[in-house]
Amino acid sequence: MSGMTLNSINRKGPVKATAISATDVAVEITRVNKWYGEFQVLSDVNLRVMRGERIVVAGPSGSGKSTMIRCMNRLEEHQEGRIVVDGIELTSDLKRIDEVRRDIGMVFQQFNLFPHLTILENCTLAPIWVRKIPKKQAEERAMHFLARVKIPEQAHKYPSQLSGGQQQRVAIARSLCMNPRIMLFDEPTSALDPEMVKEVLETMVTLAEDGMTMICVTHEMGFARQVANRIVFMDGGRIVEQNTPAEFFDNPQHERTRMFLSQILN
Amino acid sequence: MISRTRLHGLVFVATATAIVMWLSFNFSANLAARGMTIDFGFLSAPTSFPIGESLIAYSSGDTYLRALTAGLLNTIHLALSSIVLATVFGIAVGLAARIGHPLLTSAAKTYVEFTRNVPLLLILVVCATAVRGLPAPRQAWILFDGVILSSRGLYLPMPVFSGGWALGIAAVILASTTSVVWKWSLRGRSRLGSFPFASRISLTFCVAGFASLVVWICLTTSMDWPRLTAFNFRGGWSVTPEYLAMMFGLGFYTSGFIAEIVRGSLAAIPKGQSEAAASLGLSTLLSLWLVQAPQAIRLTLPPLANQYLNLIKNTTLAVLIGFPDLVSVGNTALNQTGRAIETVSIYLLIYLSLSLITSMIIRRLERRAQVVKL
Ligand SMILES: Nc1ncnc2c1ncn2[C@@H]1O[C@H](COP(=O)(O)OP(=O)(O)OP(=O)(O)O)[C@@H](O)[C@H]1O
Ligand SMILES: [Mg+2]
Repeated sequence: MSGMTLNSINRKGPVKATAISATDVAVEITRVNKWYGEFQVLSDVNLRVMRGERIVVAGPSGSGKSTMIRCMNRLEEHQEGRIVVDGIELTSDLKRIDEVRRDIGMVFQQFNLFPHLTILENCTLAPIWVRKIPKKQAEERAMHFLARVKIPEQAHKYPSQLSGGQQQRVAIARSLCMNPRIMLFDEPTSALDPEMVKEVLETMVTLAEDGMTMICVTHEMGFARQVANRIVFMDGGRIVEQNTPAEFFDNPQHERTRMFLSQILN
Repeated sequence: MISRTRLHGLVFVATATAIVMWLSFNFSANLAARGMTIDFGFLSAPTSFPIGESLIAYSSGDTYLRALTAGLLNTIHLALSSIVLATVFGIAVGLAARIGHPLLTSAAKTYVEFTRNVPLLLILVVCATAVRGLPAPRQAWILFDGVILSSRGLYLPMPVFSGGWALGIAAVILASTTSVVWKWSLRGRSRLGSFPFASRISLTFCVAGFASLVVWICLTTSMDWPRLTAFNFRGGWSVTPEYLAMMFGLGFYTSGFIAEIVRGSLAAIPKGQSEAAASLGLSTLLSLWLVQAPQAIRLTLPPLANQYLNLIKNTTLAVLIGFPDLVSVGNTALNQTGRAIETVSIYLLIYLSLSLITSMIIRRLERRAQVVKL
């Protein structure tokens, strides 16, 4: 597809295929239905994500992408069906919910850093209070991940002193400090100025290369083609189509997908 | 050239001075015309009325100054305990509204609506009537061992320290040494990852110090237990039924407003904050404590100061219940001496000072709670 470029990412080739487990299921969603009052947001959603897999979720606004991934760590609750994360089924059992949340990181469109804490404290808060790691060790780990997202020098600043791109990278580092086995991204670059999109996408590519299981809602189709193992297309609360990037972009099966692609790529 | 703001300032000061001068000129001219003078001499004259309860020794025949001081201390005593009560209940109810349990939420809502919609005067009248229904001393309710509630008020056992000054000085020295050692140990811990040997030794000494202090206090302190005499109780620490009625009435009324302030400030924190906290695995309580409350505190302080100021001014309703607060004692003094202007100006000065002190304290807390750093 010629009109599409990896506008913002340096490396042109697709991310090396890291080992995707054939048997180890990270997230399994079975026949999930969810309503907001009368309005059905998710209809009969089925999705299985294997360990090491990188999924990009695409679809028009209001199609239920955010709702679906927010159900995976129970920021939203589903009314019907089963969601199993790392072998733990999400029910109203608070202990299990906390257990799942410890192992699943999430990055939000609006960063949601804690404004009253420094960058370092943002990164050590949960490890100290949830994982009960000694402060010193938590700080070392935080510095390690801040170095990985290339902003160790900002550690003692407050979030409001950083650019949007830097804040989003801190948010990624903050999640990584909990050693998650799965990372969820909900449009992590949509609130950023174009010149900052690149630095955040690069961070996510590095993460992908390390074999992290990732589920990303994004409109960055260049990123999707480069990084995703599978693209999941949603419309009207349903998963309409899921396929490899090559098939998805070059040979879309459904009319809705073709329409969406023609809109987003032009 | 002077700057525009400077000019505005000068004009304001000049106008204010002119108005004040005109008022005081008028005031003294009118006083002179009626043959009145301003004289605070009555303060050293003897009174001829008793006061129902007082924190300092007072009896009929002491000076007016002493009577007013007793009233002022009653006002401060009442205001402080009501503020503590209102704050504790307010925070508890406000947090309950945010925990997310539907039953707690609706209970908190009912509490807030009730306190906000019933006039304070009515609440106070109900409280005053309720304390009148308390049983006579012989049928008193013994809530716990030594905690006695009856028509004579609430009696509690009171510790009597005979250790004296030495005890106090030892406690202060121990507390400050420990805080220094603790800070030093924390620095050591963040450097080495665990407490260094030297600080473990020093901390052990501090703990031992506290243990011996407790032993010392236990050995030198006796409890003064309230005892039933013919028609009343003696000994212990007590407050009158009027005081209880005022404290509960004011505390209950104000706690509803404080609950709403707490709830509202927490609700004003963007939803993303609690979602981020939850996604990191922090429980609801930890998220409230570590993420939402620190950000909400800055929002609560200014309206909280208003509630405290209101509460202090509302203590003057004690007149209606017969609790001898400053205004209640002052009005008696005024009736007896006819010194209206003097008494009222004493009220003004005192309530103004109380309010200013309260605002100052809150302002200082506010500076410390500057949350969003720039
Ligand atoms: N709390 C809510 N109450 C009622 N309706 C909601 C709520 N949250 C989302 N919705 C509705 O559910 C639908 C799906 O929302 P969702 O946020 O999942 O969409 P999305 O695919 O993420 O869209 P976008 O690309 O705009 O982020 C939308 O129609 C939205 O209006
Ligand atoms: Mg969305």
